[in-house]
Amino acid sequence: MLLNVIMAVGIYPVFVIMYVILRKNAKPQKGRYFSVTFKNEWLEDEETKKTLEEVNKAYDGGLLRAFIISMAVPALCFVIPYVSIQCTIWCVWIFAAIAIFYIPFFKANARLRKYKEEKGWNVQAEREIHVELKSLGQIRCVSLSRFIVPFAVTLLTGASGIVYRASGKVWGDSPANEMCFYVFYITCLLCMILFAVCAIAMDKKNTDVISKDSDVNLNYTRAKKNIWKSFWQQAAWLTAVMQILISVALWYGEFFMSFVLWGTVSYSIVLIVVCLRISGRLSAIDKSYADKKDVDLCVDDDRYWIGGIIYYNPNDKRSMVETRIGMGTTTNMARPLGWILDIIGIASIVLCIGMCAWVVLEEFTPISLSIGMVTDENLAPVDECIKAEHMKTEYEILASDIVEISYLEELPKMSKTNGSAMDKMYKGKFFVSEEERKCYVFLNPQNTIFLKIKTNDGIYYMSGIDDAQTQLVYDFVMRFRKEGE
Amino acid sequence: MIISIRDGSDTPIYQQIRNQIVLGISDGRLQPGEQLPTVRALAEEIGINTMTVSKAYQILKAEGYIVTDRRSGARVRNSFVRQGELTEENKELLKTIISEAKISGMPWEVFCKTCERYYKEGNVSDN
Repeated sequence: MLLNVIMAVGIYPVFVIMYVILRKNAKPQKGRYFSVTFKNEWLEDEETKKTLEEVNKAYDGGLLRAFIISMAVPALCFVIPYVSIQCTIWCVWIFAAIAIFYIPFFKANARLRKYKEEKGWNVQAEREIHVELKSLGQIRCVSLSRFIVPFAVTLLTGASGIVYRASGKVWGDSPANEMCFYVFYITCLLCMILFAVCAIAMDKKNTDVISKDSDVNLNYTRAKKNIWKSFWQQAAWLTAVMQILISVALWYGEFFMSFVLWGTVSYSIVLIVVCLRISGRLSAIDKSYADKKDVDLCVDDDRYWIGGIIYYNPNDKRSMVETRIGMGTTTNMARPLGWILDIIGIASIVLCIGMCAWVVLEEFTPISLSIGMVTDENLAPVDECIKAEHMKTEYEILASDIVEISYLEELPKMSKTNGSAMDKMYKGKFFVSEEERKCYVFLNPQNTIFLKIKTNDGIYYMSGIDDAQTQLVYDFVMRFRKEGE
Repeated sequence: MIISIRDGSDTPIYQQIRNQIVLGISDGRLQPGEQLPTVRALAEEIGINTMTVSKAYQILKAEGYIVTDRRSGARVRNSFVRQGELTEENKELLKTIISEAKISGMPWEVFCKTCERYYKEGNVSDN
């Protein structure tokens, strides 16, 4: 349940943001409608006006349907009991939803391209690039020093907690809290670095050419860069504040997890508000410059844009080009760097889905305990042992190494420190409260009987595929110990 | 000042860059002493080899339109050598243009007026 709440809090806002941002695609961008170039004189044609209206309507409807579907499907996770399947749905759905969101756009693009073709307006123009020569690459708004303070705050706040812990003081109330804190700390630091890198990369973008007047281009670029600068700075400070709050929460150990949960929710909400505010400010800039934009500067190179989004132009030496919709850049698929970046992107998606498949396999492969024989290098039997198997042999405990074995009808309170904890399988190292130490755990928590095995190496909590198997292993160890006596 | 580069044009790209910078200087969009972008920045933005931009700058420098400095990069010259007449190469070019105007039946007065307009306004924008 907690996983679903965290995923919902993290992912649902992404769908909302996507819906809000993609709705803006219905408006012409840089003289293009759904990434299809239309000259001013073509737009005066009544048939064109009607077609654009119809395409816009269809796009709005399609986008709304995509939004509803993307919000509805992950809700299944709240009724499906298996963690691995829940994870897989969330993970696959992030990528699937992005594709679904773009389907209305592809449809609109295809429809307008067909319309242009029917009208005979498909100009096979050569590539034309407009470059603002004045202050090329010289408008810089971001200063790295602005990110140093929030980074230092994050670094020191987290580090002070670690130093306090190292001095042997009590810190949090369980190892799970400690692990959660470390994960948060590293994530916050990485976010901070990412924000600074993004800010600098966006700041290095060259002057936008929207008009033949250089001053208009320079002011427009400066205004937009300033907005982006303030966005990245706000995001950095927000992360620093989040880190401070998480560090403070450590002193109230019992509320730590709920603090983390609600802290993450608040962080996401504030970040969405900041995003929407920035988006509004960027739209306002575009609106105020709308009458200064020069349509003549819009080049009809639609044939190089697959679906209006993917750029493939072997004649263009650039690997990264300005995207036709929204903001930022996209890769030129005809260039080596372009397809290398795209292969990395696709490989990451495949890897992510592959990892989900692995987790499903892990959850649905039953664990089993069996009695085996340890052999020497000549395959001669040496000693009997308990074999714990789950996809591979996890543990082999020599019967002679067992110091004590007990039969449990209820599992003690335990929290995972390293390994897997799923509905049908606990595997790895767990902190067991009654032992006040980390123990090896290999069991199905849905069983009703468990074994607690003490050896010189440590304590093992185990169970078989079912209670009967656990009972068999227990009987074997007891018989072995009796024979030994 | 905006320069527009066409990939499919018969005019080589270095020539297009050179021509547009000269036009910019003539119509005042590029002021004397104004800084030009670095070879690397301009090449990256257009998506061409740095050698192409470098060649355009070398021609401009040789023709006396710009000065280059290792520290401050390329700048428009503060003052130009005023020979008061066309170079031999441009005279040949003008001859061709006049011949084409003649063949197309353009009256002399109209041709002179067109020249006068371009000379005064300096708004030739095509390559």
